[in-house]
Amino acid sequence: MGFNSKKNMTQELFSKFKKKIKFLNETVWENKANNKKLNNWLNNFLEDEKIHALYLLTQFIYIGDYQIKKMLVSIYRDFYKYSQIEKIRKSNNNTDNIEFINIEFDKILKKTRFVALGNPSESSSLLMYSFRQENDLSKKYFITDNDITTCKDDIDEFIFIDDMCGSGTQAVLYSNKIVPLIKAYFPEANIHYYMLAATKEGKNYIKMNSLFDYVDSVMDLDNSFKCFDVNSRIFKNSDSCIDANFIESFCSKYGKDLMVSIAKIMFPNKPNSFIEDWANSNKLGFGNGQLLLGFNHNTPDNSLPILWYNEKDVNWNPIFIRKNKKYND
Amino acid sequence: MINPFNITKAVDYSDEELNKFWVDFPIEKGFKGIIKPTSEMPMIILGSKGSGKTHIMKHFSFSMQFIRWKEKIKQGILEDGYFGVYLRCSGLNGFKFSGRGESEEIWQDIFSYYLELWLSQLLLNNLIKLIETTDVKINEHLVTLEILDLFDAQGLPNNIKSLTHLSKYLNDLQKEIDYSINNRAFTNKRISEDVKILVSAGKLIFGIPEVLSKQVEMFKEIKFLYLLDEYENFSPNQQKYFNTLIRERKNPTCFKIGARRYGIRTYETLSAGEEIKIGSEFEEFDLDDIFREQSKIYTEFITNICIKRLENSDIQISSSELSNKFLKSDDEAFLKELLNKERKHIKLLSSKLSKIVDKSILIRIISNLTFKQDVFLERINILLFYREWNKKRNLLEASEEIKLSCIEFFKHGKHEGKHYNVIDKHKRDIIDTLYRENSHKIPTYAGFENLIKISNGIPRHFLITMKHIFRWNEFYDVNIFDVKNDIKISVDSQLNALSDTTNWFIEDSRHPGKDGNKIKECIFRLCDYLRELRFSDIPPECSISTISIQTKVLPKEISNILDFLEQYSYLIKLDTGRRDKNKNSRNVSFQINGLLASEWELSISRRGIVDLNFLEIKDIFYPDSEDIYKKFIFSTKSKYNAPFGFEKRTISLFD
Repeated sequence: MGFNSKKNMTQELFSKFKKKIKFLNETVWENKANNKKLNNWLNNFLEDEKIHALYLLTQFIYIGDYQIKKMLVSIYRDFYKYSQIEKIRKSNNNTDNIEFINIEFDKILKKTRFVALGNPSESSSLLMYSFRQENDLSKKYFITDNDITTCKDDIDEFIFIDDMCGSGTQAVLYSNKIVPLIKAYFPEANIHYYMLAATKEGKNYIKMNSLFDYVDSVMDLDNSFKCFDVNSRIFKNSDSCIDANFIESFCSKYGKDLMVSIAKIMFPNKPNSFIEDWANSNKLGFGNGQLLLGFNHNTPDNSLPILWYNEKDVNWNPIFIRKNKKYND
Repeated sequence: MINPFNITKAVDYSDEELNKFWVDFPIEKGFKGIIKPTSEMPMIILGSKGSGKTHIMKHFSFSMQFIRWKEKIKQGILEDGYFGVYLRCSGLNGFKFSGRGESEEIWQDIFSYYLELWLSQLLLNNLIKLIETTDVKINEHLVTLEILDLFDAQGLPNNIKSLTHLSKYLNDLQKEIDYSINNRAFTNKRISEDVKILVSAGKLIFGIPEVLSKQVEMFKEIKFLYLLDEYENFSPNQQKYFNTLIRERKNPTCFKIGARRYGIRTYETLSAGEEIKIGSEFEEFDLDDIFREQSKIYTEFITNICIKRLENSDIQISSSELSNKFLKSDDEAFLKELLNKERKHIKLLSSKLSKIVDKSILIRIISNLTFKQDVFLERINILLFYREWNKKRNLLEASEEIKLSCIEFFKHGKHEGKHYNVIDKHKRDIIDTLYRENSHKIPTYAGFENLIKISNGIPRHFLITMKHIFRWNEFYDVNIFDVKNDIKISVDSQLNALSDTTNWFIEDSRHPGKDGNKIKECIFRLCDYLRELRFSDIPPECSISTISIQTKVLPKEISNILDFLEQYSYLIKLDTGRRDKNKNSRNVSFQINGLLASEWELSISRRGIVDLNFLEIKDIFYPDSEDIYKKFIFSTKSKYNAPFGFEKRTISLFD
């Protein structure tokens, strides 16, 4: 070994990670993290943290436009259509008469509404647009949650679609608000809540605590997707000099500062002690999500804040920006 | 901007694109002069994967003639003097003509009949297109009857009255064979019972051109050129059949066969296994050899390819502008930068010396060898000192001599003496060593001409490097061909691109299965070994990247590995082997592929040749175990690095 063996190794590793990121950038990440952006992001960190931050980034799961479209096809086909066909066949002596099944399914589709959550500028509306395109559905089957009470049609199925569920608390709160309303107007209707990705804990929480009749997600994220969990997949095959504890400590250090700034936006009237506690609990992502995940249209706030933080209060350069600054508590 | 170098395989281009991207070899008459499409002598065109065979062969096909000449195609063919019929042998699925309970002989008959039908259809379809788009006058009925007359069988359908009918008929016959082969397992009916061979081997392939030459005025002086590409996809028996056609070739038919360097599985024919003779029955040339031997012309060729690609992406650039775009290593700046830094070579030498000399001597030796004004000369001092150490000289005396020689050279710069000799032979090695010792990537490989040199006569290697250069610059957010800004291509992005290309090359040329891994390990071991030598204290040769082997004494296992490495261009066989100093027998020299050389920090020049004896070859290419190889590397390191395997001893001032 030469005199600079440690320095050499770090340099080699740095170059290896950068190559990997460049490759991910041009193949999977849809060119969202070029060298300039990467360097700006790395400059958030101290010199000895950079190699670790870079490693963390090589483990980032990016769900691009193509994957999202395929997931939306899966939601419609696997969760909705197939289960309806199963019902049709069961109640018709297991018929395999495809023409009959299609006619019956069309009847069900006509009594189905796909509902975008929140206002039209939010991600759910974007998803709904792709959902309609990919599954070749008529515009008439789509409404917003504001339209439910004015809907004159006889509806049996309401389908809600969301991109991501972390802790599940938001979905439960939403269900408590929207489901009684729907049931008041459509007492017999089934209400479905489908997600592109959900943590196992979050999904279970929704299943147990919400009023939705059906809950499911295309991608299940177990604890191995949590960066610093004992079963984390992030450090399973990492190079020997990559130190998970060190990474956790600097992610927490910066995450805390970033989340203090967000807490101040979210809770302008709360005392500092509350802000501090809240930031501490969420420094590794909302609901201690610890995720390294992002979508083409946005990065969920359950991911590490060092990836997406995009506010003016702290001077921080994000790598996968969070566009929609509505935070979920 | 779309990467102009994205596509690097001719098969991924349409005919229109192939024509658009065509670049001729910059010699008199270009590729036409090499391929000689109207020559009656059959030709085998060999070349590595990526050498451009498909592009060249397709260039002479009718579809490309048609694109080139457009509405003047009739005059074009008369001017060209040939009518090209291109076939990609891989499209034939040659492997399906075997097994299934049929004998080799029967498969050979079925295959030759199938090929006969296929090539004839290709020719007829070209002809039909020519008739449809020009005023070529052909008595189709008469020509069709004469072609049908070539068949051995009687009672052929009597409704075949045009070339279109005839082509359709041949296609139906071919489909019958396909059907019979595909359903062999289900019908339990032997293919030989199902398929009737209606025409003798070669009858249509030679006969149709003869009929056309006789019956159609415009074809009187025209050669019918069958271009068979990817010949390596034919099995030995299938090649045997085609070799027989080559031997029995009749005017006005010509053959050009394209194959990878390892693609000719046999030269035998069906005539009692006799081989076709090079020179008298066919000529053979290797594209790689042409590109490698004519390096200046190859450089011009690659430059033109590059310019053409850029032109098609609306980037206008001259060859000198293109070359200037690529930054090269700035050695002077680097040496200057080292002046104020810790001298790693001195530190390493001190550490080694401290184990064998007193501190006071060590200080004097280091003081003698240190030359603060010039790091480069100082590093030469170190090399010279190691050489003296290896000769067991008195180290203090040696260092004093080196000091004087260094001062002398520095003052007068004479073309003689120890320092001059090292500079003459090892300048690049010394600079590269300094880069390495100071934890820098070796930038020597950067620069347009170097990248061409690294491609070793394989254009695709260069194109893929360019593709990666573009990608890296995209990642760096730099538009390297922005006309408004004179942006250069950084050394870093060139080195990164080379590394990506090397990874691609290693994967792309990998032999499948376990053998592939073994062979890969062999070349990696060889590269590791040469790198140890190049960056040792006393490199045995300058510009190491070439080895010399006495191939006659090698066991089959090793010569097979060497053949594979050579055929897949991991090793480049050099034209002139050299004579073994002791045994008076000729050795074969191989240079490490440029991409591998750049990855392993070896030289891309061809100067010093490392002779490998049988034991060394065995330890590298066929070690009994990994431990044996490790021991071999350990002993190599001891031999070429201080203290050169000498026993530990301490020399004091009074020894």
